[in-house]
Amino acid sequence: MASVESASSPKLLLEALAYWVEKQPDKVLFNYLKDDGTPLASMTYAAVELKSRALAAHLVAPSGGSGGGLGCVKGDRVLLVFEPSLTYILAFVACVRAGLVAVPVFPPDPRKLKKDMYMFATIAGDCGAKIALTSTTYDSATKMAALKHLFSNDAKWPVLTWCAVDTLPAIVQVKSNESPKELGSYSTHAPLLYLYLSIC
Amino acid sequence: MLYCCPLLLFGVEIGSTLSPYHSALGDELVPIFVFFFFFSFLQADKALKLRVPGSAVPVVASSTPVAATDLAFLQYTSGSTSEPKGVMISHANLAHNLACIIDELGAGTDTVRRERGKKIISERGGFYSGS
Repeated sequence: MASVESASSPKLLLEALAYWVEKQPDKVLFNYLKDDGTPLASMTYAAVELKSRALAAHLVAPSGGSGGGLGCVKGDRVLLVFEPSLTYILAFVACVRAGLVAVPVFPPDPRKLKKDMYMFATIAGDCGAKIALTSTTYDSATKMAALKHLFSNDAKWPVLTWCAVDTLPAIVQVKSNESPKELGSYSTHAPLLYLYLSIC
Repeated sequence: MLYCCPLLLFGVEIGSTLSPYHSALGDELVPIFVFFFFFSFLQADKALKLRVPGSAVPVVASSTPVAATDLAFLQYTSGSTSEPKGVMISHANLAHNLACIIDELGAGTDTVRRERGKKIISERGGFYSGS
């Protein structure tokens, strides 16, 4: 049995990452391509290692105060609410590194929150997540959507601590324990909302 | 692709470069990953029986140690036919899943993948249809 394991076991994710970071730190691991096939963003093996470490450290650092972390402990469920992006992949690796259980969730479409929010809230409630990781792009889109839905009760966000993780390494924009309904600046967020809608 | 982010990590296992591609036609890519995902579930039992070490394995210094049997992530069903249900994927499941993809693609460190429509093109010359 032991020989079977050693002969055929694939490396666990972080073992594999550590192995290749050692051997080829400067090789590109991910290119995110635009429609014309040119890279929109890329990350090397070393970059994935370092950034996932930084985010993992933030996830498990005790919460409270400025510079505080999110206070997660091993086994906690964490929602990943991302548009397709390298940040999403990075957040997943960080959760694995921190011993947290990632729960990828399709981001509710700000254009049809009423419909999508039921699924989102059901999953958030079922897995018991208290933390949701997202990108500044999506975060801003939800603010815009909240603005639109401000005067109706048809789409309620579950109570979560939202954290936009793509401002690494100078993490982090945390909104504690509230639904994303602050009034944002329309002119500031409109381009981001457009960006989000155009990629979904 | 969105749901299948963890599967893109197979590049990490083999040291290759992956180029995810998303466009208005991006949905055509989904069947490829759905296929691999169902394939991986078929293999899940086998993976657990054959490949799970008994004790906790410290993966990398300064990371939280995880055992192969620990839960890595929850893959929720879409909820189209009933309430969404979370499928529990362990670290061993994920590693085996990635290994299955690598085997199926014949991928190696020199493989650069770009996805256009349902074709997967690699520098090694092979291409695979996703449906």
